[in-house]
Amino acid sequence: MKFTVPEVEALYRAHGHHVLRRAERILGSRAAAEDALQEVFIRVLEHGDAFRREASPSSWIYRITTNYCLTRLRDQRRRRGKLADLAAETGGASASPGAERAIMLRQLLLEADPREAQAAIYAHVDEMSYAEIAPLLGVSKRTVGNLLAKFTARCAKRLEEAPLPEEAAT
Amino acid sequence: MKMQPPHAMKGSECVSELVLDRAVAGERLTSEVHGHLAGCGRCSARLAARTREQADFAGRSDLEVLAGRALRARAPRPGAAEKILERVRSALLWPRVAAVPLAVAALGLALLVPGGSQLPSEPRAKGGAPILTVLRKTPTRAAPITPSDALHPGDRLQFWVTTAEPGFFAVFGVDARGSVWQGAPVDGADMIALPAGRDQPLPGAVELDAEGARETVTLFACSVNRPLASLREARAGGEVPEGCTATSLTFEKAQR
Repeated sequence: MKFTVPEVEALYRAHGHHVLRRAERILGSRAAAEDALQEVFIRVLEHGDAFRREASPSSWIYRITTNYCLTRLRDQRRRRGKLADLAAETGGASASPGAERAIMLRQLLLEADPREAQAAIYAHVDEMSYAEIAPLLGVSKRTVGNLLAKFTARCAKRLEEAPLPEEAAT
Repeated sequence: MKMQPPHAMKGSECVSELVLDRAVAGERLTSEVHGHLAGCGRCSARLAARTREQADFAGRSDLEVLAGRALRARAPRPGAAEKILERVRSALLWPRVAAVPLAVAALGLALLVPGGSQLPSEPRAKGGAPILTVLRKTPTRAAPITPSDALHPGDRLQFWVTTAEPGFFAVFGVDARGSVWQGAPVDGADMIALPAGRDQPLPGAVELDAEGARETVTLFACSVNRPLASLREARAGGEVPEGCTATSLTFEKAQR
C-alpha cells in the first residue's frame, strides 16, 4: 500500500516527537536522534500495511525506535570500541556523576541480551509496567520480571566492580 | 539517559510515557486511564508537557522534506524520486536551515574553503557552508554516494545543493591527472542561480571517462554570478575566487 507525502508528513506530526525524545534519551545525542527519526519512519513505511492495521501505532513505533536505537548503540561500539569514545559521542566528556551513570547504563544495555535491554528501556526510561512491556516483547509478565531481574543484577555487579564517583565517595 | 527503577518517584497508578504518547496521538484509551489523567496532578502535567512537545515538533518547517526523504529511501522507483522532489522543492524556501542537515550526516564529509584562498590539500570539515550531494544515476534511480563509494568509468553523476543563502553555483571536477571537467551546468557560460533550500538538483548529469584513479568534485558557491571560464581556471589552479566558497568531495575511481 502506497503512502503519499502528506500522509507521511501527518505521521511525523503525530509521532515524530516521541521518536526524537526517546532516541535522544537512549542514544544521548540530538544529532543521533535526528538520524533515528528518519530511520524509524523509513522502517514504518517499509511495513506500511502492518502499520495501518495497528490498533496502537504509538506502541508499534516505540518498538521500532527501541530496536533501532539498540542496534545503533551496538554499531557505535563495534566501530569505536571504547567507552571513552561513547562518552565523547554523547557529549559526556565531563566526569559528572550523571554523565558517567548514563554512559555506564548504555554499556549495560549493550552487554545485556536484546530482550533484556529492550525490557530495561521500557521499564526504566519509559516507566512502563510489566503488563505494558509484555505485549511489546511478546512474552509473559513473568518473563518480563525475569528479564528485569537479570538487568538489575547486572547493574549491581557492575557497581560492585566499578562504583560511580558519588557511590565511591560515600 | 535517565534511568530509574520502574515507577520510582510516582504514584503506583501513574501512567507510562507510552500511555501519554498514545493519549497525545489520539489513540483509544480505557476510561480508567482517562480518569487517572484527569485526577492526577503529576500525570496531567506530564500530558500537558507531551502535548506541547508534539505541537513544537509539528511546527518544524522540515517535516514535508523529511517525509519526502523517507518515501524516497523506502521505494526508489524510476521517476518516483524526481516526482517527490518536485513536490518537496516547493517547500524549500526556508527562512533558516535546520540544525542538523541530514545530507551532511549521510555524506559524513563536507569541505569548505573560504573565499580568496587556496584549495586545501587535506579535507577539513565545517558547518554552515553549502552542502554538495553527489548522486550516481542508473537507468532506474539516482542514489546519493559518499567518498567511501568507488566511482567507475561510465558512471553518470548528478549534483544536489543544500544552501542556507541564495547564490550562484557551479560544479567542477578534477581527475588524478589534473584535468578539469565541468559538472554543472553542463553547458553555457554562467553559474546556476539557486534560492536557499535543501537538496536542490542542478540540471544535467555528466558521464565519467576511463581516465585516472581519483576524481575530486568541487562546488563553487558565489555571491555574484561569475563566468564559468574563470571558475574553471581557478579550479585548475586550486584557488577559490574572492566572494566564493568551495566545497569538495574526493572519490576513488576503480575500473569495472
